[in-house]
Amino acid sequence: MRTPHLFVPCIVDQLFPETGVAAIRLLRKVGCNPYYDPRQTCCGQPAFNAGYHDDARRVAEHFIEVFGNASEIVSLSGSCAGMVKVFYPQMDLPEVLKEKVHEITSKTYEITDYIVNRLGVTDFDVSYSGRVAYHDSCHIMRELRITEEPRKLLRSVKNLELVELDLADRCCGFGGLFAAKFPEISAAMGEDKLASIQRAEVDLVVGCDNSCLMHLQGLANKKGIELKTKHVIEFLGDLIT
Amino acid sequence: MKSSQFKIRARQAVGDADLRSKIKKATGISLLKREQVVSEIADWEDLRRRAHELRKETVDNIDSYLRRFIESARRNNAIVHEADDHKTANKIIYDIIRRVSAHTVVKSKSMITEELHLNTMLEENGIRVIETDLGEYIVQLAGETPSHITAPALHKSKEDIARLFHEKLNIPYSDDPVKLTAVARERLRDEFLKARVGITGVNFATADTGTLTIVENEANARLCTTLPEVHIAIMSIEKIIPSFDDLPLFLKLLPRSASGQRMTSYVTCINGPRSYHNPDGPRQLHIVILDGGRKQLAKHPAWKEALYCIRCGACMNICPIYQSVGGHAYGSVYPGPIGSVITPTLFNMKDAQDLPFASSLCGACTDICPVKIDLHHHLLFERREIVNRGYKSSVEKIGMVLWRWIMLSPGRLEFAGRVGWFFRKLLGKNMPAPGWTPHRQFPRIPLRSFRSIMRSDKKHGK
Amino acid sequence: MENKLLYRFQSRIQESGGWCEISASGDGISDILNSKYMFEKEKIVISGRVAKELQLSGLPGMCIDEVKPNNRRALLGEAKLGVTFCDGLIAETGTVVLINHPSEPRELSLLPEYHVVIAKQTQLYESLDKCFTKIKQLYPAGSIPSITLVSGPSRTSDIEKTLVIGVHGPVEFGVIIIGSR
Repeated sequence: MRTPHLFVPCIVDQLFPETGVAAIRLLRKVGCNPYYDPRQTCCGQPAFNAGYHDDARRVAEHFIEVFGNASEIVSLSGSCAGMVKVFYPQMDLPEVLKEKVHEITSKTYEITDYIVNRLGVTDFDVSYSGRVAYHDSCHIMRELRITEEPRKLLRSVKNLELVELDLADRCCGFGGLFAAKFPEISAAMGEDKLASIQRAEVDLVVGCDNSCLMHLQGLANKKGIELKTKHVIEFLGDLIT
Repeated sequence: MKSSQFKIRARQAVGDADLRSKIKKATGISLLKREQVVSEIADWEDLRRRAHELRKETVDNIDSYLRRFIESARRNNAIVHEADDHKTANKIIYDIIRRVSAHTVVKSKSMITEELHLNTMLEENGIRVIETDLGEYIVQLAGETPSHITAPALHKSKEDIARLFHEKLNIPYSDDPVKLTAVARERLRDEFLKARVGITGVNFATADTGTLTIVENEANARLCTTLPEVHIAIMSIEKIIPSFDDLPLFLKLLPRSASGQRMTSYVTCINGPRSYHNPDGPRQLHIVILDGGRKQLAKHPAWKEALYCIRCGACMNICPIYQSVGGHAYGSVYPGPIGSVITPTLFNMKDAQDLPFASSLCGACTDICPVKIDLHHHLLFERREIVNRGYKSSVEKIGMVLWRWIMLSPGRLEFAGRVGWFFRKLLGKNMPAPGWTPHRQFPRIPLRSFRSIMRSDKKHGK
Repeated sequence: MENKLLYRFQSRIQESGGWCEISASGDGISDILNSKYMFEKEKIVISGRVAKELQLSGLPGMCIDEVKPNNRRALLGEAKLGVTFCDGLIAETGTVVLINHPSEPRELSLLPEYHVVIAKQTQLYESLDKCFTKIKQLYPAGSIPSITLVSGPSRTSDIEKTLVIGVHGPVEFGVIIIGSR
């Protein structure tokens, strides 16, 4: 039996625990025995993207310590998986950890990528009636080049109508620290995305990064626009109960 | 205008719904046209890779290519001037104009002259500069600077331009682009015929043949390089490409990326002034080559990539930040993603320190760049340099130390989360958070974190 | 193959706002020009290369070779139509390659309101690479004349991205290819 180590990023841990619960349910359903190491905290991305590479490195070292011996690491965020896979190798880590990083990088997966490509599962035999749009978060789309995997999982849901947004490949404006440093620009970008979502007339927007969805949801709530957002995994996990 | 005020200007620009819709419309049209002509090229990715390799080859060996280009250009009877800095370049240009006692110059679009602030310098010295590219003509009449490197008047509506022409050129108000264009044609034709000096930029300079290539649609660059007695071509060192044989590749990438055309209406390849080989054209061809810090930048292992840019402007069109604030907000000569990469590295990192942060790191620019410059990753790594140079506030630095302290312990992370929960519970959905809640509602914080759920599950043997 | 290139060239030119006609022989050129442009003889200026390369006579217009170099610019400034020969046609992009030539000054394709290029079907190249390779073979290094590539009429999209034809250069651009489909 596979024992993937779940990487539950800080935002998912503290704000979206349901995504983690759903991930465990889904992975068990397809015969995995997911393991959660409670020592984990964060991948270091916030500091890294802010330019504080020393601070980021210290947190990354903690991550490497926690996940160093995992056979497989499954991330519940596309962006955080991208941090580990793309940016850990570019960090100024001590020589002794470089080998380890190489190993970690190659065994880290974003969860939809893991389910579809590693486990070969594309169908959970579930059903949902409604129009759903998938939001491509930038890091999963452009750092990891994962676009089809979540869509495959969604298409397998019976009665679900998967709708493509007209601005599908455009950033929602979250961008981590960017959202707080340039809130006006971030909000303007988010409003464009919300308009695109409204044009698509969907019941639900799903994605592989809760942070982008949180930004969009927060904008919609503030403006009084009706919007429902959910992580793809949480959406699927809820359907199999 | 300075890049140091980016935040203020960006905020103003975002608030200007009219400006935003103009920019969005214009960039949208450009992207759509580009997509059509790029999609018909099956090996587009291959072309990008080849172009990247050629740009790398040139920049890595810039001294030797520069020497070869100068030799070839001199063999073509061009007069070549090298300028280490902006001031020297301006002086060289001014002296050439003075030597032929010209009082007026016609000029075609050139970003390098924007970088030199050439027009201001010449006008301060009593020389009239006439911008002849329609977009530049509009911007010059308005007393502004270009807001986009290939579409200078992108920030203006036809009504804005109609008012401008009506006021400045004393013509009846008309917002018909055909009529406005006809006015410019008529006014400028006479200037072309009279002018004794023509100034242009250069798109590509081939080291093996000394050929200057200029890409355009209006024919104003052709007029600037054909009618006056003296042509001054101004280029920065990275305009060089190794060979005349490489030109077709770059001519396949540039017009498609810039204006969504398979080829621009005109491409002029100049191989020297009037001579036995060249029966017509200017009697003198001066080539002014600016370094302006580029040789130094070419030595940087990563940021040298900024010198690969062929100035197509596609990264601006695709950038959601550019689309939201427009080119003027950047306060730099080069706006958009490439501007944010090049301004801090080539000009002034302290003044431009906000620019690399003004990116959601979405990476759309990197994907569209015809020479595969890793734009968004350069922005990311420039941030490190800005922090290392100590330009950031101590409040932010302390914040980062605190963040690190929390993230190095799961217990502290959980505690911080619970503090958040407490305040969210206390203050409700209107809980304030600087930078976040002015535009977005604070998210709900659940009673139990994932780690706490897992802890009790374990206890109950689940 | 050649027909395919011809067809592609023709459609590319049309897509960028120009026109392109095929004439079975050189004799048809006058007919095409006369049917399109009704200008007086002195308003039409023809490159000396057209007559020489195609051994044509009786074209409607004045040959630039008959005009003294010093008077050429003034004449061309007033001319309505400039007719040139060319040095290559690029099918991929609908581009005409003009190499500087004593009997074909640059102003001829630049100052008049209309520019028509006469070409032979045998001058068609698939892509610019192939044409440039040929040019490099023809001229020794250091002696390549200046080259102008023309792919349509003078145009701009500087005002709200609205396409306007005819800014500073010719408002109309056409190509007559001697050949057969």
